[in-house]
Amino acid sequence: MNIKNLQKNFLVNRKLSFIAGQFIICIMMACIGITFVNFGERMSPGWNGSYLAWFFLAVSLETILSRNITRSLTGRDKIIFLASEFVFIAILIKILLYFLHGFSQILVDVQQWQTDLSTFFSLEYFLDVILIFSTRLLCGRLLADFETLQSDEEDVFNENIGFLEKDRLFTHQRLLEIVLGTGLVIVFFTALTRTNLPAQMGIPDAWQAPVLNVVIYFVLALILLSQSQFALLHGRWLWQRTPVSPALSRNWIIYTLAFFVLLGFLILLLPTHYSLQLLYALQIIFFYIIQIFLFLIALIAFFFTWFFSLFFKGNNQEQPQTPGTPQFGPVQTTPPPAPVPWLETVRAVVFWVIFAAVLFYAIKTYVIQNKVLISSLGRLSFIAWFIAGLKSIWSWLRGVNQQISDTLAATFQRGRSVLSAKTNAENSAYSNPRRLPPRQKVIFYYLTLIRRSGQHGLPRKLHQTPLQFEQTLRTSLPEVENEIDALTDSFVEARYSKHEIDGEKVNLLQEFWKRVMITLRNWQDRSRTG
Amino acid sequence: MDAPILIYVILLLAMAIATQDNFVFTLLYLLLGAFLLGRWWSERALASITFRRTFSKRIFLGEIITLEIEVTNQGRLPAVWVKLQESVPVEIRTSPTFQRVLTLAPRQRVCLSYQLFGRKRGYYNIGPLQLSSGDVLGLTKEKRFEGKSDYIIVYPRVVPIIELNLPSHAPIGTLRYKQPIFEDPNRPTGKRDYITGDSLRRIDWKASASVGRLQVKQFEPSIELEIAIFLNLNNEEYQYKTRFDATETAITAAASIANWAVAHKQSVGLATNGIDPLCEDKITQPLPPHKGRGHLIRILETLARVKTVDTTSVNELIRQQRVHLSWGSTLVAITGQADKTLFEEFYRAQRAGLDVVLVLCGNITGLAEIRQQARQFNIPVYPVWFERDLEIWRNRA
Amino acid sequence: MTTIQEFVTHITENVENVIVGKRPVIELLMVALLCEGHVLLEDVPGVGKTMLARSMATSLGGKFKRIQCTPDLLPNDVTGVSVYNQKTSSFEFHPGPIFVNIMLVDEINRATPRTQSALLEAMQEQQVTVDGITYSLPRPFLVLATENPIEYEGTFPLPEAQLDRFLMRLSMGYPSQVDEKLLLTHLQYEHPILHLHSVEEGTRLVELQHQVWDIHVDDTLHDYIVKLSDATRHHPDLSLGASPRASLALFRAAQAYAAMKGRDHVIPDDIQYLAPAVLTHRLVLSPEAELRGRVTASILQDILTQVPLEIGNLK
Repeated sequence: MNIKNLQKNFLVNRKLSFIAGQFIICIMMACIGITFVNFGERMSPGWNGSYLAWFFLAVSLETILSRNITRSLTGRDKIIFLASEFVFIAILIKILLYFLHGFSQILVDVQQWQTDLSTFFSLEYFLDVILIFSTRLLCGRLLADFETLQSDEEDVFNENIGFLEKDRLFTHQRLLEIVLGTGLVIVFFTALTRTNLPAQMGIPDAWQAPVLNVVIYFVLALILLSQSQFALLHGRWLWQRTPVSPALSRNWIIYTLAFFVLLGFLILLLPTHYSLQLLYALQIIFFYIIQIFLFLIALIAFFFTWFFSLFFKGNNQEQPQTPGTPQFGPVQTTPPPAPVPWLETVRAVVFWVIFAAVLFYAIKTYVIQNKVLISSLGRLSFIAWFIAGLKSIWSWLRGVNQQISDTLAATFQRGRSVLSAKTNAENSAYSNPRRLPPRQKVIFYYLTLIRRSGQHGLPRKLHQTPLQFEQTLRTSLPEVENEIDALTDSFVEARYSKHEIDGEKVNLLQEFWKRVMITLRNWQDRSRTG
Repeated sequence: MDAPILIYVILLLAMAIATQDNFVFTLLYLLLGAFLLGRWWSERALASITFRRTFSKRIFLGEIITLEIEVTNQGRLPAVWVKLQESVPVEIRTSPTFQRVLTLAPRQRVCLSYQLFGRKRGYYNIGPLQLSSGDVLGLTKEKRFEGKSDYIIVYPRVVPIIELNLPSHAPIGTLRYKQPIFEDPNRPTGKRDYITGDSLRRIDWKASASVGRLQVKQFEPSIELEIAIFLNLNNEEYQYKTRFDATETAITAAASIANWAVAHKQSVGLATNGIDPLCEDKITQPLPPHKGRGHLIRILETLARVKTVDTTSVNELIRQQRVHLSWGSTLVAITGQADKTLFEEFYRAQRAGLDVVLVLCGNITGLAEIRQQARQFNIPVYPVWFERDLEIWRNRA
Repeated sequence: MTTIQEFVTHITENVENVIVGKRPVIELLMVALLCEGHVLLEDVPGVGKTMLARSMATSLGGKFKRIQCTPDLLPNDVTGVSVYNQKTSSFEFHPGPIFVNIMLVDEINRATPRTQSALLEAMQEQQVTVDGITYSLPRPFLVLATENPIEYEGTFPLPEAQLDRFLMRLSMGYPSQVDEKLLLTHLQYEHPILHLHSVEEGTRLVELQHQVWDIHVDDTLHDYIVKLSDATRHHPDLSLGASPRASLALFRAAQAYAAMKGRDHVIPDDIQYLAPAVLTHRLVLSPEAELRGRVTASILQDILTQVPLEIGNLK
């Protein structure tokens, strides 16, 4: 199978696609593992948890390999298999811990087995087992869902139509939720690793843990979603017996890559720290809200505790603790930013423009979905004024977008036309116009005008006569009407009559021709900028 | 914004504000960007797609044509996937619902085609063409767009008829006719001696010189034929069991007669009590007698569209419309049965100077009685049980 | 202004005293005159066809006759007849109305095919033969035949082979509201045709017709005319395309039109302008195309936008 066929068949070929998906899921699990390792190392500074990340990877691989067996098991058999697998994993973890901490620990644990199990089931071991087990389940779920979405012709025609439509949609939705939800969890833990918490909590200072694993996790998650989306659609089209363009699978890969490249480019442009003090203000507001919320929870809890303590007085000598005074303001105050250089200012402006646009978009979507409510609110004058203001901002943004796209297109077009002009010039019989006789010169000027106007967005249709094309040019370039008339009339005379062409007239035409060329270029710039 | 994505975005935003950590912003942009970029891309790509159908809008029964759809991506963004689905009426379809999934690069044009078969006469809507597309990640709902629909007319079957031998009284036409009332000066048949009163323009001078007496040219009579077809599509006047075939045969007979008349450069008109879905109040507008292919097209289009209905009888139709016919026209009534009231109507038409011809379609009961009644009024009767019977008329000339 | 241009301008301005707002039609008629071609006017009754022919003839100082065709019109009624004179015992030729400079044949499609053939043959050969004796027709000689559209009860539409003998087919059409209002003012009193005089000598036309032959036509335009005709012969909706006679007619008409505009060379716009008038009536739709509602005019427009015009390239 050559590379082209591989590309073409990659997504469509079930095995290849599934292997790729498995590979992605494995790496994602490893990324999750790294997150928890970093968090653990922050919470317990002396602890070295690098073994755990590798164990995450190993368990993912084991899940893949055992998938062949678990796929065919159901009910009690499946539970027994999973339970035995979990026991095996737990034993492996313990062995690994002994290996890391020294095998002498075995004797200690055995001696204290019957009296104190806490040394055997240490916090480290306990957490390791929970994390590994969770990863095993998560990995299994993702693999199962991903496999469900893969389809080929045999599967499709064997399956029930209702299952195909509804359940696969549901599976895809669940895959999305699991992937993003897990992502949020690791973001949370990574943020905790890197954020300083109140000193009263007795947690050591934060450290700048690497975040590459989180970014990789999300990128891989998006790739996985792309693959699963293709699989979902492809299955639907197969069942509906809809012919699919053979280039679709290849283009899906190319356009997805282009999508990510574009996305990456956009992300690079956007600022990632707050600017102009506004985010700092948002942070303060956010913490105010959190503090108030926690205070209210504590207040309610105090009330219930006190209430129940009335009934159980004497049994419990402890008094319910009053909620502490809420501490206002963020725990970690970021120092106000240094005066930003011009690039940072630009990026900050871009950030806030996009932020405002997203906010507006979300509001707009909400409005569309709740028309009745909004129409009653809209009767209030200040609401109507606000809506009008938002609409004008939106139309301005669209205008900016249009200008940018037109500029890009024109630049691209210019590059192409310059390239083709250079190529053509070498082969042209008119390569040295100065030596041409007057009649040929006139014809040369006019034909060049035709060519250039085509390159600049005013092409001559093949059936158009010179006089008809003259009208087209005059409409678009009114400032050089007379020059266009002169060039056209001279060409018509030179081409279609036997009249002698005056040399002086030709020199004058050359000036006209230059003026028209300049105007043409300016016209193109004007039409680009709108 | 789709609700699950919104929740994730809000949570990430909260974390970003709370932690002020760069990487959280990056992830927020990643998720938000993926959603917004995907949505914007798929919307823009779908909005940039245009299509154009090219096909012959009028076809004949039994004809297979190819309909081409040219789909163009006018925009600068590629359309990763676009599903096209076109609804085609089952009467003209040659394959299951037309659908395709395409991928279109910027400015790419793709030509697709499928075939239509004129299985049954009628007026059919083709389309609308439904386009749907979505983003590559499945984060947003699919977008849909409906293009405009087109129509196609399948003409009824036309059977070639060489001679129908329909009578007419109008002077100086193009067919030979036996009643020697009006002579056609373009059809000389011989010479005779000059009689006082003969036009000098009819004198054949050569013959006169050779005979030594004035000789006048003789001419054969010919006629101008104007035909008005009255097509009965009242369900109650056809036998229930064979109603569908009989009415279709009636329509074929009307189309064939109209075609014959136009081919012979005669005027022909059409009136029917069937319903025309395109007309106001669904009442079919009568077409007065005219000549020419353009008029034939109008008649065939009307015959393609009309449907049978439970309505007033053909007697009423004849009574209303015959007053618009000129003296000497031929009234061709195409129906499934003929009773006494119909013959009374025919009699009134004859008294008004019209010639009547009766065409009976379908399985006719009491044909012998009908013929007998028709003979009394000197009305020719042509039973047509199957379309091939229309060709039998050729032998009756 | 050239001689031809002067000639045409004088006549056109004179005719416009009677026919209001129809300069393009008058100019095309002048093209036909300069090409020695004949014209078919297809139009509804009452738009001024007879007046146009009559004023044209008067302006040229020539003879004008009008024939109303009916189904009983015989060929001899057009060409003339030899009548036997008993006193002299010989046949005397009585010339028909065709022996004029401009003849208006009204409703030619109401004449029988025999009569039509006789007329068209005379138009083609510029002479008539009656009883073995040939009589030449006067020069200049222009036939303006009118034809009612089929929907208006024409009886014998001209066969396609006969239509090819007409240089062009024109339609006057209804005047615009402004022109019609002007017409009412013009004709409020005596008809202006009664005061119309000759402004040019018709005999000059022969010399001018020869001058038209000298109008230069570039090679690329030769190709263009041939390509247009060829395209009509291969179009799927046409069962009959333009004949070589049509190509020649277009060529001549383009020369005449260029001369009228004061040029000594033909330009592509002349050909595109004249093609509908010269070619449309020579094209025959296939029956399927006709039943599908297509018309020759739109097919010719499609051809004009599809056939490329070579103006040269830089290579």
